[in-house]
Amino acid sequence: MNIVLKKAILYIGVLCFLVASPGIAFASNFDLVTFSTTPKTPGANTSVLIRMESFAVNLSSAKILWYVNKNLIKESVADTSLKVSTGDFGEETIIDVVIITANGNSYNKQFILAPAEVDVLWEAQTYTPPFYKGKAMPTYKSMVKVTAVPRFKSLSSDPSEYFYTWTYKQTLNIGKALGKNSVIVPMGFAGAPIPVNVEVSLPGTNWKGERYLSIPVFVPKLVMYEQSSLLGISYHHALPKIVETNGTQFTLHVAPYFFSSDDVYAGNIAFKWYADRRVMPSDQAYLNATLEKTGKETDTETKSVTLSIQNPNRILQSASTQVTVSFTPEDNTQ
Amino acid sequence: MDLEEKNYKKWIIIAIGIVLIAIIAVGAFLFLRNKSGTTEGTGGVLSFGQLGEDTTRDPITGNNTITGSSTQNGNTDNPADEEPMFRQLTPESVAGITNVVRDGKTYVRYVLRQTGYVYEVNPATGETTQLTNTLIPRIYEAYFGNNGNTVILRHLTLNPILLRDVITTRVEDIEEPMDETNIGKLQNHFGVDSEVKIADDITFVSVSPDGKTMLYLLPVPDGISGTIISLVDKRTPKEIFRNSFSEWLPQLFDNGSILLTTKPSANILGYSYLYDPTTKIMTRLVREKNGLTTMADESGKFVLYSENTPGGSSLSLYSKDALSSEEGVNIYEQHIGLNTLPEKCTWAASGTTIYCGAYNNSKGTQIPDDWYQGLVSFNDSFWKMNTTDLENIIYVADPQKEIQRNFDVTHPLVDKDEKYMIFIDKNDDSLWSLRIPPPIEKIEDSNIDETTTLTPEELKDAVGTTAQ
Repeated sequence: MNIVLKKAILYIGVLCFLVASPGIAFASNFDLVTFSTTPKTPGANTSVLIRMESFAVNLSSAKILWYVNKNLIKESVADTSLKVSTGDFGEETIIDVVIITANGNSYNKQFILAPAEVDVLWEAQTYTPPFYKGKAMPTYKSMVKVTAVPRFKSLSSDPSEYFYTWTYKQTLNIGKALGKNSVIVPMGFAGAPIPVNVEVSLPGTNWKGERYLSIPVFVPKLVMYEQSSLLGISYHHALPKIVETNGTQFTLHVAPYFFSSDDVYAGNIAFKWYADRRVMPSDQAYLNATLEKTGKETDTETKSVTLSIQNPNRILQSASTQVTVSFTPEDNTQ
Repeated sequence: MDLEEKNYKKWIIIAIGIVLIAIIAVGAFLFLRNKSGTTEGTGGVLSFGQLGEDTTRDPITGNNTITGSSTQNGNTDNPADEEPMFRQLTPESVAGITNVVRDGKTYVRYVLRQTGYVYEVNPATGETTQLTNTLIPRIYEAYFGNNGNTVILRHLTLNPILLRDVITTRVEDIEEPMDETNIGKLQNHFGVDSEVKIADDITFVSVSPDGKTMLYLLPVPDGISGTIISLVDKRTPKEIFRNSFSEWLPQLFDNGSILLTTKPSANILGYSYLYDPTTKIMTRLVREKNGLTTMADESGKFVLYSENTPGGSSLSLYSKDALSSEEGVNIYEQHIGLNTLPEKCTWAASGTTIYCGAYNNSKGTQIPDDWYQGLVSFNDSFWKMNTTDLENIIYVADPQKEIQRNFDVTHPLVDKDEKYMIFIDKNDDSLWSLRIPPPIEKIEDSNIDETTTLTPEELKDAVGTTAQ
């Protein structure tokens, strides 16, 4: 064969390849038609909006048939969205789409909708008093542990089976690994929530889930309780602003809610107790202060106590409170 | 003059007579009006007490049988009304309670906060017996197991190394009295010479409904550890689970599974799971409820839960098996028209009846945070419902009306015959019993006099107390 013929065959071959390759590429990689759902990770018995997009197929003039679990639901031109409900946990909803373009080409695509849930739990490493049943709240520069609990196939799951990708403040990658279902993130200023995002996938499957969370940041607070030698600290009865007692001694105990617990336990917190504007002695890691009646037993004596607390390691963790204790003669106390 | 004087005296006597008759007439009118009363039917409009931000806590004086009079509810000719509706079982601060059955009768055992002494009281008579005299002062929490014969006591101890208070947990058996005082003592559950030591700073404890097992949660470096202790024998404690998340409130069931609910805060989403220690699988139950708190029945089939809503702390029921179905979609949750927290409720032995103390709460209150912190207290009235008919909530009692006293109900229990509801009043930690009135007969249509109209006072009773 002469050189000219060989070149002609070569050119024709290249030309055919260039013409056919987009089609082959399209046919072999149909992900040029993509699906998205709202919500992104629907749970069980949830209404879901499915949208279809493509940069390779002209959907605006294509006839589109939507099937749900083999049943024809919708048939129209250019209708690229469908609303369906997920089933119970563990039930899959199979969406089949047939696209017939204006020039007669036909494409099939299947999309499986499976309920998934990704719970994101968080816990702040801040102080709460013993026996407290409520949640510790995050405060300025406190650390928060965030934990994901995903479920794809059923209501039950073993979190260690999943692959996790964590993002903090929308762009900062804070770790990804199999079984890494927890991360620790620092908080910022009070009133400025911290966004955390986690993507979860089940290795060996196409199942994915995602969850976005905004962690609120609070200010610490002080709550005063009475400490008595007989009953201990009355944690479930906070002292009102004005307290009456017919004793000659009264011990105040403060619970510094939501200050960073490592600083509280290490004794790093600065406490300033004042009684009638004079510095008071305090004890036991500064959480207690005792008032004594100095006047006659038959007199009523009032002392105004002010407490200010600040964490020098996290300078915006501060709080103050005030209580007035009235020592009354025994007959006068209600 | 004499005649005038006589006339004068006569008119004085007549005037005095008229005044006396008038006084008697008014008194009779008021007495008879109160006695007539109304018959209340079931499913009445909800009547709530009110939440006070600074509720005055009345001191308890006198003996421990302060009673109320039942003047407004039910048939006053009923001999049962002779027994007071509310009975104070002890005025002293109580740390924990349980009920035990002996010879067919129900008794209540309780631990005094001040001393750690264990007592037993008959809720029908108020008769009290001291069971132990082992002094362990300043008890914060107490739990019972093993049919009331084992008690778990929790108190604070100053740790000399850490220089702070730590939570100490003791498991003690109630030993029979050995001398003529007829008062027993507490004995280490694992034995005097046992090397078993329960760690400090256990965060929470739960005892299984049959009283045979106790679960405790202990913080560990990578999260939380859950350990079980047998309360009926001396087996070594055994760790049954670990979790990287540590802020759980647990509830242990007889089969060893555990309901784990995240610690609540008013505006934070809470989650509740069932953990199976044999498969190490967590199954999701209630999900994404603000301020979520839970309490399951003994079997774990139903979960009573509350959610913080703009209208207050709203009670609902979750069932693992669907409660109903609508258009092919299973419904697992049902709202109950009560503002309360599950810890103010108790399941009766039937497993389907629930008794609650419920309240109206005011705006600006963070529930349950403010309640847990002791910043607010509730004024509860008492209600009853059945899981088979949650729309029908039955009014039981309003202590404000009965004995002019407010209760903030905690640690509620009901005896197996549903005759008494026992609870601790959070206002002063005193122990009380409520004699549960028998069901009121259904009002037959033929008994209704259509010409009868309710007085404003009766209407107010029917509508209930409004929030302030």
